[in-house]
Amino acid sequence: MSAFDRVNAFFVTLCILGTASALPAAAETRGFVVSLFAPASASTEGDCSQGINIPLGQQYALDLLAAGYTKEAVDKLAEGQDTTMFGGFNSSWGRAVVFRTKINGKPVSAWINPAAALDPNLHMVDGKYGFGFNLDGNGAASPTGFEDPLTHEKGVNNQMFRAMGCFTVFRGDEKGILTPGAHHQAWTIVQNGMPAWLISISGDDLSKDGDVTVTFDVAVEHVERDAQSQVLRDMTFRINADRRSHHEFAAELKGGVISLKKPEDLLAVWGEEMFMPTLELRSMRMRLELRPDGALHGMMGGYMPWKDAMSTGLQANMGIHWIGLYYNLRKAADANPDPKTGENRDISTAYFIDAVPAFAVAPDKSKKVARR
Amino acid sequence: MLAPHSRRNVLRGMLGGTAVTVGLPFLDCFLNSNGTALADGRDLPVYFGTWSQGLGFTPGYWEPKGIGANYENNLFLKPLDPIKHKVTIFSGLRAFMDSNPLNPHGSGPAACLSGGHPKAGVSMPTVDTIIADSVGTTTRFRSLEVSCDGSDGSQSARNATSRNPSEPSPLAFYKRLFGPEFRDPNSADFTPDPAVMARQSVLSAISERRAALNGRLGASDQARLDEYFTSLRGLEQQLTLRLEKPQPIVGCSVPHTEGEEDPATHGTLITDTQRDHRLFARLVAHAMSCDQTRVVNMMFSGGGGGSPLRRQGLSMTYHVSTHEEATDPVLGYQPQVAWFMTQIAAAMAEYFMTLDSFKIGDQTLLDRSLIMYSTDVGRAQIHSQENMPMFLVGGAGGRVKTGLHVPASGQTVARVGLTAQHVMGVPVSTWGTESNMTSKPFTEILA
Amino acid sequence: MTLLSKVSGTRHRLRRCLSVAAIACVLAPLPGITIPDASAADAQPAAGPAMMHLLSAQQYRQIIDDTFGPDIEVNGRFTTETRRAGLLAISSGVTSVTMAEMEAFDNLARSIAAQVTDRTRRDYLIPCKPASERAVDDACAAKFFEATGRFLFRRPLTTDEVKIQVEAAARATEKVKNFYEGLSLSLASMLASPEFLFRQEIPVSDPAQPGQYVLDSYSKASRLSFFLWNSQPDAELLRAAQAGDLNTPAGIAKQVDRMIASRRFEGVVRNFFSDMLRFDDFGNLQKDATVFPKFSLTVSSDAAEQTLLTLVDLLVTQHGDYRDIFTTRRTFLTTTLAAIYGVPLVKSTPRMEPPSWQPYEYEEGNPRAGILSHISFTALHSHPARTSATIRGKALREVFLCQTVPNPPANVNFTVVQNTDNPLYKTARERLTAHSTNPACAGCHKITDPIGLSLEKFDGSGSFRNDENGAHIDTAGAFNGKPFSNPLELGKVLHDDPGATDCLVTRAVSYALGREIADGEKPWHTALNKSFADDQYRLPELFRRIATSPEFFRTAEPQKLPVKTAASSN
Repeated sequence: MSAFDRVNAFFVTLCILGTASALPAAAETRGFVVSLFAPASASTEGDCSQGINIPLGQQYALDLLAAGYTKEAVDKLAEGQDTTMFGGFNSSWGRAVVFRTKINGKPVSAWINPAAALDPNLHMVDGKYGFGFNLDGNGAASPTGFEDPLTHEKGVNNQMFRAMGCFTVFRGDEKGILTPGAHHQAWTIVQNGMPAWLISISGDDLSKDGDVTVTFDVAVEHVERDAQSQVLRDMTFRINADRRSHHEFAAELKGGVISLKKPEDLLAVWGEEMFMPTLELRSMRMRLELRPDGALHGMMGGYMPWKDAMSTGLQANMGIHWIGLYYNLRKAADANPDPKTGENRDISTAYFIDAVPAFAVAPDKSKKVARR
Repeated sequence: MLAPHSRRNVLRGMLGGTAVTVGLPFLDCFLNSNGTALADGRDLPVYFGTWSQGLGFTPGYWEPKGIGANYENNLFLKPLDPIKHKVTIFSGLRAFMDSNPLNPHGSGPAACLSGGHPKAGVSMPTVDTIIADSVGTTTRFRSLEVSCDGSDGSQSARNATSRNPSEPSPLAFYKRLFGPEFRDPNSADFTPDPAVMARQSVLSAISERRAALNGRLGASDQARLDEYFTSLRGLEQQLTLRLEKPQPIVGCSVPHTEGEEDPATHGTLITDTQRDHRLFARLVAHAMSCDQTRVVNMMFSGGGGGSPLRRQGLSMTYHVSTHEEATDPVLGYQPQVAWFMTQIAAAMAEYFMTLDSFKIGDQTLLDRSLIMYSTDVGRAQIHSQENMPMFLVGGAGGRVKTGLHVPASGQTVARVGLTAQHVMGVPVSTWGTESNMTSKPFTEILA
Repeated sequence: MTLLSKVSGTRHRLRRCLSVAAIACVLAPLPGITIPDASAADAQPAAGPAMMHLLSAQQYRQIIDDTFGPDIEVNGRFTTETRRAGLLAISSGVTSVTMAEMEAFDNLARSIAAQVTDRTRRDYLIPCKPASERAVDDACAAKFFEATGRFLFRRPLTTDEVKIQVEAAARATEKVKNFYEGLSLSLASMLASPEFLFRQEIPVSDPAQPGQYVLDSYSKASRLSFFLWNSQPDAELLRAAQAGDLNTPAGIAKQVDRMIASRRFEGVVRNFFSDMLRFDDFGNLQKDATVFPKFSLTVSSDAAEQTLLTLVDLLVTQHGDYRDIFTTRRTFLTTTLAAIYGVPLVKSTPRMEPPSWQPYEYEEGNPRAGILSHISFTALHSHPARTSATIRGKALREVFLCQTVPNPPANVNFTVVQNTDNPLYKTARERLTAHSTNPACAGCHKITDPIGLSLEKFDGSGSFRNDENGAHIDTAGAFNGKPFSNPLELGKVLHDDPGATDCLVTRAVSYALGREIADGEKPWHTALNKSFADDQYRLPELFRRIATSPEFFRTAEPQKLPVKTAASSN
């Protein structure tokens, strides 16, 4: 009866009227909560002409040879060990793999000092297809451009896919279907504990073509799951009062697909520490489709700090050669050069995004910005 | 008289596989005509066990076709076909994580076996210890834990910090069970337990007031009261039996041993694990048949890097295969991983069939047992905590229906553990923590 | 004339929907059955018998809580009760204790007794200290059993009874050499005894009316407390019984007022409606997650609570009209429930805490009015993957109108109804119409389906929908000749139907007595019906009227049995 006591004290009807002051008055607003956010991988047969990267244990053995171990020494270390376990400090194998790096002749952890570790030169995608957007504006002339396998737009930039696409766990398919890989794992794991990401679409009439506003916010609550373990639809979320994660973009709705009017910067969408501390996409593009079942499905792309992209693989600590990924991303980075070193700091990316209907309520609880 | 113990002759006798059960004769004369209880009215024991293994079964390829009885086993569980009429499969279960960090191969077992996630300072006893505290107090061993992959890994724990270690060596296990400390149940010395005497002495207080109750009741209420007193007498009788020297144990047989080759020491091939599992299975069956324990935890193999099962001629371990092997676009699953999964299902089937080959009257050890199968992940590739397979195997002495497929989509794995506790008579209404908390056993399987 | 007779104290079965009888169902609508006026037939109609009830799980828990405090854990499995005449509360009057239950009660008793006497509690739960913890202390044991026993046995213990417990404690103490363990075992034997587990009502001759029987004072106290508190009498009620207060109307009224004013009364209202609305069925409710992914276990457990909170608020807190349960727009929701109802609701608790209940009021005209629109009705009375207008209609008649609708006959082909993918019959109404061309079924479906079909816009999980398979859902129908076009109007029709309030009175009286209403009690039932109307259908007033009626304590003449003598019974 405690629930009764509590609720009885304030029997008031929730007042959910009007719209948030920051938004232009719109006749229709639909709210969504992001249910999937994962790197867009468009893997096709033979797109890693040098082959898919070899299993971790074998690569570590090569790393040890490169670090100066003899074949016999490596075999001895590996005997009876799970050679994929880099972090097994209680085994001589694990210690050797981690401390194969030296600084000033002193062994240091390769994981803490990746730049001091040798580049294993792992394979990168060199095929024709990749999902993404023409971020650099060079179109088909872009030397690193892919062709989008669904839209067949040429010159789309997605260097993150180039860097990651030859790891088994990051492979998808050309139809945009994700295999359950590292990105998937990282997302599903963190999603249950991270503040939900909210999107709302406002316009005069979302059943017709016209101007719309796309809003990004971070919620106080995390997503809930339904009986199928999918993100529960029609949940209510409170918008986080921290406005740094609040973004509004002018967009256009055409044929049920929403795209931005111009490239925009999406900065500091608060995420989850291990996976993606903040989501930053500069010069962002998007293509979001309003589906008949009420969900939102599409792709977002832009430039993100390549070190942030590393975090995607951090949770998924198996099947990814961490040092190899570090070097691949660093080498593939294609924007925002460091004025001192000339090295690019950002990398072009594209992410698949799914969102399901949700209610979003402004922090003061009295105003609703989006109705499903 | 037992032969001297050496790994060699224990294993010879065990691996021989035929007619190893000599030892004490079957004493069916002590059974009642149904073979369900001792002739003097004592119920035969009901045993509880866990059978656990890491890396689970790939979703989509183990869930049976059909609901309820007479289901059809899916690809990876085909090896269970010969015994499936005694295997109840729960599909669609989920280990809720709430906001707990994922321990890739630890969170699943925690949820399945202790109903939640360990937190600092919070005790999380596993279900086998709870049941052992309830049913295992009268036997020599409250519970037995064995591990088949050469490690002493165990998923049985009284709390977050005290784990019951597994015995990895069949030879050491044999010595522990049937070595010098093993006492013939017929000749064991006996001292009555004063606590039981005390319990018995107070129950007479109830009967002493019976006269005052009678005489003011209608016929139907009088009959109800009579039934109460019949039940009370049954309870008193149980206590009386516990104060008497134990009867010879029906079906108790001690493994027979003869000399032969000592197999190679334990390697990392799955065949090594299968061999030890086979030895353990028979030893466990003997231990149960002699009522040395009522609770047995069998761990076939762990899940993560700690248990590197290998296949002859394959460079990647089973664990690594789950993460790295590509999914075959035609088959729809990872072929090497599938091979391991089928091998493991076959081993599981062998365990159940071993228990089913030990007769107690017209029942088998499996009929008198409830074995709970659980694993660590739903889809090993991504450490998913969804679609976790769990089974309850055996008839628990007629307390459960067997051979059912129970879809339980999106429901907590803890419901199976709660069901097991109810079947085993543990007084518990609600079990588990956070979203895994449940007060709903699967009543549809209760007989 | 209605197709079904109203129930007034007794149950009338619809004729079996089978072969010949089915034709009667179809072609010959049953005339309204008139119930003979029992009071006219017999000048002094017989009251019902005195009862012997086995404690329910809830009562057991509440009693332990009341006697020893809420920190005593009561962990045990109680036998599932079966519903009789619409209530689980009636079945406890016919069940006994099997061997397995005896073991369970004994285990539970020892676990509770051990907690009562453990170091942390003995100082305040045991009114004395033994001379030595390792030895027998009869005086201290006697003090404990006298103080505790009167609550457990719901009356003072006789000298003999105290002596038996004290001696038992002494025997046990000698064996285990520990006073508290001995005391604990003796207490456990009390908790496993029939005097505790069964509440036995004792009839005595009515001094005011020779030849008539009433309950004795302590039985009266128990009947009152189990009815109004679902627990044992408290100290004040026992005092009143001892002082003879319960033999006067004024004395009873004083106690009843006190009990209804207590917060515990809410618990009884919850218990009563959980029972009447069959919420125990949630334990076995299965939904197909592929069809209704939103229907999680959380929804299942919250759904009943939503309705109970709504009812307690309306009927107790607001002191409202019972009939408004069919029309109220006020309810309580959690965020998970709000998602399945499709309305926004903000958590008021910090992140990560369990969802809390929030009051919620639907706007005027929203179809979610009345508890028939709750998941606890629409989803509970549906199939795992689809709705069932028939099951809903049957449930509505049985639960709220106390009618009995027969189960379908054997060998009926349900294919047309079950196949929701048939392009010919897109909506449930179309499917049922096709099915009901079978005359063996049509008669009964006429009784259940029109009201069930009006709820078709609530799908099998309780979510709202306008269409089924692209076809518009028609929710129009008629009940007792009164037409309605949607569930809101159906709610209003039920609100005004005297059958609903009559049924509530029937259930309340059966709940109070723990048995069905006896023939001789029908005039009382009629009188209660009238006073319920006079009281503007306030539930607490109805419960007050029942508890203060002389009929509530009247019993039939005790049966004289050739019982065993004290000597032979042992």
